[in-house]
Amino acid sequence: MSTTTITAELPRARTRGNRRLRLISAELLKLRKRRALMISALALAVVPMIIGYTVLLSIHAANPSKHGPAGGLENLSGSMDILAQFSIITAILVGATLGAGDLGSGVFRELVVTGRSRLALFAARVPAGLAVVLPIVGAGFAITATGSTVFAGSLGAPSATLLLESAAWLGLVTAVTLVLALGVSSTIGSRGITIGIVLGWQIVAVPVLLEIRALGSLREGLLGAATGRLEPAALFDGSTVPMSLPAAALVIAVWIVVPLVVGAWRTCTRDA
Amino acid sequence: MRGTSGFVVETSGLTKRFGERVAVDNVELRVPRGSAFGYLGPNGAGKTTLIRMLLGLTKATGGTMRLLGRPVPDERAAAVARVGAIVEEPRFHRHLTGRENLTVIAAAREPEAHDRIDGALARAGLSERADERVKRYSLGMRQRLGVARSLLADPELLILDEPTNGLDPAGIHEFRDMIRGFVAEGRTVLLSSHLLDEVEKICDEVAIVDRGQVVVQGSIADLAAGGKQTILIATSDEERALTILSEHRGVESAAAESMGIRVTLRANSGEAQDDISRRLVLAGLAIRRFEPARVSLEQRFLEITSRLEEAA
Repeated sequence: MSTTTITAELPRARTRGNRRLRLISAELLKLRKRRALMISALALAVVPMIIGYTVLLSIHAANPSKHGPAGGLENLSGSMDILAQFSIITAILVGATLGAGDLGSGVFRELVVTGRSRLALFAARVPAGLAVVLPIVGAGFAITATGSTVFAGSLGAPSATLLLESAAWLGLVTAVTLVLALGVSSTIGSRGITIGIVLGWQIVAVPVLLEIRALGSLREGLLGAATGRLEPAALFDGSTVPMSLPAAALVIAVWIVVPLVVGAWRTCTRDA
Repeated sequence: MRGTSGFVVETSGLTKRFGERVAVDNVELRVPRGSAFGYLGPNGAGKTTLIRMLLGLTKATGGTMRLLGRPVPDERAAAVARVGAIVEEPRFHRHLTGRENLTVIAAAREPEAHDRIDGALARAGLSERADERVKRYSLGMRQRLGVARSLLADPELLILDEPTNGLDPAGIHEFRDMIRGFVAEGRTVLLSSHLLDEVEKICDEVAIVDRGQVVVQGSIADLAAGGKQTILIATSDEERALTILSEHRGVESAAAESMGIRVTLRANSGEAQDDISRRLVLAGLAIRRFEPARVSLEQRFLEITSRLEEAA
C-alpha cells in the first residue's frame, strides 16, 4: 500500500469512527434521558446492597456474639448472589428499551429515512447499552466490594484478585443478558413483551431447568449453566451443571451471537 | 453520479401489493426539479405507500424508481441523504426535547447535519421551545419539528405527507409560505395530500391518484383547462334564463348560484357561447354577466374521479 493511499484512508477511517461514535452517543442520550428507567436501574443495582449491608451492620452492632461482621468472604458471596440477580433484571430493562425504543416511539422510521444503514443503527445500541448498564451495576459492586472489605472485621477480607474476578464475572453476566434482551426486543419490537419473556426465562425458567437432573447434558446449553461454570470458585459452590470451560465459553458465545444476528436481521428487514 | 435529468422522482411501472390488494398500481410518476408538486388523492388511494417505497421504508412489488437521479433501492442511501421527509404524522421520542430529537437524527446523518440544528429550529419557528420535552408539544408544534428535522439533510427534495394535518388556519397559512420559500430556494417539494384546496394553493404541478393509479398529471393550469368549459351567466330573469339554457343542446348542465347561473358546456366551442348569448338577448333578457368561470382543481378532480367511477 502506498503512502498516499494510507494518508487518504486515515481521515476516512476517522470519519467513519466519528460517525459511529455520534450514533452511540445518540443512543446513550435516549437512554440517559429516560429518568424512570435510570432511577429503576440504579435502585435495583445499588439500593439492595445498601440495605443489605445496613442490616448486616445493624444486627452485628446489636449482638456481635451472635451475628458476625457484615463483611468478609461469606457476606460477599451472599451479596454477589443478590447483586447478580438484580443486575440481570437491570440489563433486561435496559436491553429491552434499547431494542424496542425507536420502534415503539415511531422514530425508527425517521432514522431509516436518513439513509443510514440499519445495521449501523442496530450496532450502535450494544456499546450504548453497555455504557449505561455496566457503570450502574459497577456502582452496586463497588458497594459490595467496599462493604465486604471494610466491614470484614475478624473475618478474612476478600483478596483483590477475587474482587477483580467477581467484577469481571458480574460484568459478563450483565453484558450477555443485555445482548439477549436487546436481540429479543429488536426481533419482536415490544419492550413489555421482551421484559416478560426474558425475565421469565432468566429468572424463573433457567434456575428451575438447571435443577432438573433428568435433563442431563441438555442443561449445558442454558446460559445460566455456562455463566455458573465461570463463577469465581472461591465465592460460590460452583456450577450445578458440570461442564468444561471451553464448552461454557462456547455456550456463552452462542447466547451472544444468536440474539445479535437475529436482532440485526430483523432490524434490517422489517418495514419501517 | 447524481442524475442531471429534470426530474427528482421518476417511477416506472411502480407497483405494491399487499396480498390480493393492489395499493400502488403501475405508477408512472415524474416530479420536475424545483417545483412544488402535489400528489393528490382521496384517503386510501396509495399515496403514503408510494412515499414509503420511494424512501425505502417498504419494498416495491414491481417496477423501478429513481430518486434525485439515483436508482432506488440500489443507491438509496446516497439518494435519501439529500431528501428530507415527513411520512404520515411525524414521530419523536417524547421524553426528549425538540433539540435532542434533532440531535438523535443528526447523528445518523452527515457530520454537518449537527450544525444545521439551530437554523432548522429557527426556520420552523421553534427556537424558543426547542428545549422543552416533545410530550408537551401540540400536534402543530410536532409538525413544525418534523419540518425542522427534514431540513437537517439540507434537502434537494422534501417529501411531505399530509403535512398540514392538525394545523390551525394560521399555521396552515405559515406552512404554505414556508413551502413556497423552500421552492424559491431551488428545493423541490413533493406534497401528498387529500386536500384539493391545499394542493391548488401551494403546488405548481399535480398528479391525481385514485385506487393506486395515477389518473392524470401535469401543471394545475393545464389540468383545469383540460376540463369542460364552464361559464357564469347573470341575467335580469334567472328563471327564464335557466329554462332557455337547460333546453340548449350545447349545454350539459346549468345551475343557479349566488353569482348567477353556472353553465357547463358539452364542448369547448365559442359557437355555443355565441348562440347562448344570442338566445338570451332574443328572449328579452338583460345580460349582466357572461364570463368563463374559473375551474378549480376540485371540480376537475371530481370530474376525473366521477368519470372513473362511471367506467368502473
